[in-house]
Amino acid sequence: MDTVNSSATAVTESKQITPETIDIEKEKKEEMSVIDFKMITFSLAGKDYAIDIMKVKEIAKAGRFTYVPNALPFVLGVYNLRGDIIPIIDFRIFFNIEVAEKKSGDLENLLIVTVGEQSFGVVVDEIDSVVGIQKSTIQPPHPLFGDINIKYIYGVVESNKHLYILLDIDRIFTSRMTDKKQNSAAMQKNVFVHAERDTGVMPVSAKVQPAAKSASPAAVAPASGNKNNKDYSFVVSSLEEFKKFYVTDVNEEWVKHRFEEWVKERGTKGSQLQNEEDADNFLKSFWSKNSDAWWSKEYADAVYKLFPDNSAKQIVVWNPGCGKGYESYSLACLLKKRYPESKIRIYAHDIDLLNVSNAPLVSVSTDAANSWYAPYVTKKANGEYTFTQEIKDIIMFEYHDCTNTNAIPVVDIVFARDIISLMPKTAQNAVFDDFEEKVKGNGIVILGENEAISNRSTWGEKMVGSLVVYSKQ
Amino acid sequence: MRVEYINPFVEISYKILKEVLGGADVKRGNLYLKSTAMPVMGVAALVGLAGDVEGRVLFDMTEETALKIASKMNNEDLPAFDDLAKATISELANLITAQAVTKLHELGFKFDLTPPALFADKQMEIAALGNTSENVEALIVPLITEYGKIEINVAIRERT
Repeated sequence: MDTVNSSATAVTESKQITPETIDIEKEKKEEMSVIDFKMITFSLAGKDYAIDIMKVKEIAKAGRFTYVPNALPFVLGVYNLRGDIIPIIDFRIFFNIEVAEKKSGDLENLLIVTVGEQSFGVVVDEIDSVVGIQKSTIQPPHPLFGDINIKYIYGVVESNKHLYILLDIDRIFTSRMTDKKQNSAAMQKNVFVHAERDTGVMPVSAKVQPAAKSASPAAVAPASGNKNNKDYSFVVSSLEEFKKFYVTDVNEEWVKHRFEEWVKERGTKGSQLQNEEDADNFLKSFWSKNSDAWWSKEYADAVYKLFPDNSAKQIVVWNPGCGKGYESYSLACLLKKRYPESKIRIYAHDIDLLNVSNAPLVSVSTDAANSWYAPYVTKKANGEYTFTQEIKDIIMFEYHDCTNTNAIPVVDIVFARDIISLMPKTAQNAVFDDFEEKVKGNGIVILGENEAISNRSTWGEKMVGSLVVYSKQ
Repeated sequence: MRVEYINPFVEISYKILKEVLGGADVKRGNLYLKSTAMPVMGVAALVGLAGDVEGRVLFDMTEETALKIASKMNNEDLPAFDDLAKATISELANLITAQAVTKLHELGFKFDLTPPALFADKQMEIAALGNTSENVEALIVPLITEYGKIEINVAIRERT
């Protein structure tokens, strides 16, 4: 305390500053504490809310929206924003807050927000100002706090004696996305102006196409009738018994194909799986390339192409079934290359205690160390190669069964190769539910080469090169 | 549970138990994961953990085992599971957890622990942790002694 006072007085003496100017300087210093997040503040029914400024394209005032019949109540209609047709949402109705009667002719305050490639107009009571804050001061929402659904709230932050409820725009628009996409489809039909602009808004493929897929299994329906069916179901139960491999709609297509092949190889008499070795042979072609091994340059490049654009400061990855860690380390290197400015975090889980416990200490084979892994490895004292501390710090290996509660934060990428097939059907559904809950709106899911998500409309399938990636609709 | 945390708990619990039982035979069972963290056996000593993680360690055993261990630790034949026995088992829990936390500290992880609490009842259930109603996974470390089995039940979750 004494030293502070004496140096303060020293400063005062040497610069001859008056008390008022010292206060001003202190204020300036406080303001300069890092502002790394800016938000636009607005009010709804007297309460202050805010949205990340990066999501807001512009603000506007508008009066007459084109009404769209049969839309949800909070969709006021569409609006022509300099040629772009955008849907207009009234947040007050969306959050069930009382709306003052509007005098027709009054201009409404609009925030134009962009989520993914789609812009929306949001009607609010008053738009206030841009407020800069420190991201670390954002606190998570308290369940009692807001009168709007808590999942739409990103957090709560205080600035300048005001308390703002920061809304998670991605969540708001993504959770309603399926409704809105149907609405925008309806809207497109009803807008007569600028008919040629409707290609911008239509979703590419609204649902995963299970119809296309089930066409081939139908063809596989055995010609020799009942016996083949019985053989097939015996094989399915042997797979479960010997290898804990569960046949469900995730891998059914592959299994049926393989069964046909197998019967040809073994003849109908020998088609049964008598022991673990048989089961191993049957499943040999199931496992994704580069399983349980360091990745080849080709495969690494192919996976690299799957990563979407993402300027977030933190990229979180969930890697269940990481085994000895080959996948996790390979992902860490690729992600570091793809998103050099972001902090990467990989949660790598496995139920094989021995494998996952040794994963943090794994050494890299000399071959791998000299291939595309080279910039990420370093030589140990005993001449063996291992990953740099930077790469190791990215991954958190856990002995964890992902069919139990997954206590991970929201993730950008899920990399779950060949693991869903090793869970019983109920667990598979629970894990898919978790994917839906934990993956961010712009996130992706990557499964094994012979696995697929079907019968789930949340996920859209895309092929990038020879690999399939699933993203949220 | 992070793999780095597993070894300290396993090693220290084995070491301490062996020591307090005067060098008696202690066998380590296979580790496994339980989807919920409910103890089942009858006497549970619980130590809370905070810091880099949030959660708790629970020492689960039957009343018979608890009594025998407490007797051995006090070098007295305790007739009933009285206050002395309860204090002894709490102390055992404290010893193990504290040393495990020290070892973890040496590895660079900051854990804090709460004073131990003891629960004793035949029909007992300890509900999952957290303000959500989700069950948190627990790592079970079984230790088999001549006085009976003790299960060390660790349910912790990273502070994200």
